Amino acid sequence: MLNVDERGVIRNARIINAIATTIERGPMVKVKGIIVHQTGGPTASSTLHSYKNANANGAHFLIDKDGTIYQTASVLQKTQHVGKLRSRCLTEMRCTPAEMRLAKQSKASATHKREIKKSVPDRYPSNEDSIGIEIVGQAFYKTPNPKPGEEKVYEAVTKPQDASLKWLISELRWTLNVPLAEIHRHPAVSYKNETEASSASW
Amino acid sequence: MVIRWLLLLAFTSGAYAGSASGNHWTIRDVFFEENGAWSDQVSSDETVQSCADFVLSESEVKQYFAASRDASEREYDHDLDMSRCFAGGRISFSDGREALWKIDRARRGRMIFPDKSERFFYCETCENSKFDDACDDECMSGLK
Repeated sequence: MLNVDERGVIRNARIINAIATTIERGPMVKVKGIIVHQTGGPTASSTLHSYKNANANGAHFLIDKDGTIYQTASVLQKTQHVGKLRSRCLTEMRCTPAEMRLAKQSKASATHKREIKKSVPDRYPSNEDSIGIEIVGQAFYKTPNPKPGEEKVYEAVTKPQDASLKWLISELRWTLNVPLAEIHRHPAVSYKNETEASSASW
Repeated sequence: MVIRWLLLLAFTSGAYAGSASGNHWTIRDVFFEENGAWSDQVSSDETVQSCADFVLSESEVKQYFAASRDASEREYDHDLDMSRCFAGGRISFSDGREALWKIDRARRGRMIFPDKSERFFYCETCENSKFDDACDDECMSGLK
């Protein structure tokens, strides 16, 4: 179990304090889930640097290529790391007929507005109640001459990142009482690149 | 003042000047390779059928690039919400340059130039109802 101080800072030799208050968005009452991301950037320093901008968006932890773990926001604070929520009942095939009809007809904003009124586990964890873990990793085009609609593909997580992610999620789950079913890759819960964090496991 | 005058001239003459990041250009022609298209590279519940109405006209593409702001690569690839529904193709500028372009329903835009450099865009202010609504912090937290 991790030692968390009154400010939400984790006191552990494996975690470096790099908290950027610029990405914190107010108190988080209860942590109900963990969302795993990849940064899209080449280095930890590029992400840490971007967090210094006023009103920057970011997650609570950052795992560098060599497995170094940084805490970048208090675990007692919300950050903007999720985005609009997808319909959980649609993904898990348990919508009522009325929900199904709405979910299939709606644009992302309308879906998000309906979802955010629900509680976990009826909806996915959101900015309001989840911890975000960023893994340093870039995305590249698959082909030298991409087509107009092509999106990039995220690189695989490194072995040290894999080991650090497994350890961090295990410790956070134990410390914050988060069920395994509420650990999600970013694209599972929001409208993102399908390959983000696809090689991450826990 | 000069920039405003140039933009006004461009609009009234039927051309559209991009203003993002102060690097001005005038779009001459828009060519479509895909319109009302669907991508499996984005996570979403949008279907081929639901994307079919995301069909942009040449003037809507020009208006988008004129009104949008520059976005960073990180914003485009990571921070901003994405959509499976998109339009894309080739674009030519009055100075003879060309680029590939893409605009998605989530208001993201991109140009890829022949030298592989890219520009990224986001348009909060585009009022075209074909786009999904933009969502600020209050909307994200369910306060509106």
